[in-house]
Amino acid sequence: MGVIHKNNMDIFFYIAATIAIISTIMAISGRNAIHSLLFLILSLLAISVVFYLLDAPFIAALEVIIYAGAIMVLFIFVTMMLNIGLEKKQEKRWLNPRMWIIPSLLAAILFIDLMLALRNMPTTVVGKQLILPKQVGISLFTTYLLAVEIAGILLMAGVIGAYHLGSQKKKVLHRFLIKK
Amino acid sequence: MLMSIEIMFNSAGLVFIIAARHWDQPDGQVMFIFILAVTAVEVAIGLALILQVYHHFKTLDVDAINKLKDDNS
Repeated sequence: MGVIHKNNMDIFFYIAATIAIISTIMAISGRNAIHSLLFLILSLLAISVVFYLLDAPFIAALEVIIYAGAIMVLFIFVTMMLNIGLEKKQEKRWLNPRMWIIPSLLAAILFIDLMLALRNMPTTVVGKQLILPKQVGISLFTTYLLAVEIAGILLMAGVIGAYHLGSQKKKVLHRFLIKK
Repeated sequence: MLMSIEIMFNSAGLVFIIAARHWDQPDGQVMFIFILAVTAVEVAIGLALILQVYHHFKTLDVDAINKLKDDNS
């Protein structure tokens, strides 16, 4: 019974991972910006399913809420506001097979290497227990308290920078740059 | 574009989660939360920059944006 259950979970995992890979490839090879954004959202949802199957339900919820809910909506909003047309001829030149076949070959070799390394790695504990959000929170606010503070400062800097960039201000030039 | 950075951050986060599961430690999930914060900041700043560039140059072609000096004054 346990073996059958584990195999079922494996099948779900492989389906979600395949959907993630295919939609990511569609996202980075598409011409239309809106279409690739929608494929990117699909990829994020598939990765969230993968996180759930990897015993991290808290991270799966965060992925759906923050990534697919907030960041991607911001992307789609800006893309629709700017109304980007089809891309120019240089992207067409980048997309022909000669440009990307060597990096993808190297990445495939790296992937096979990683897979072989993971297969030969001795697995000590098979029956993993779930990592609860409580454990994550305790570790976040005791061990990584300084990093939390630094992340807060980074978010503050992001808010100030976005406000500064977004404000439509009067153009002020340096006095050397003003044409007489 | 900026979307590819999202994909790369996501893959790094996926590797962190897999490592956290493999060693049964919550540290990987903590790192994913930090990646989430960094991504949010990066998206906000990047989209503000894109809006400013579009207002200045009326295009988003990166090859058209090749001057540091502001010459349309």
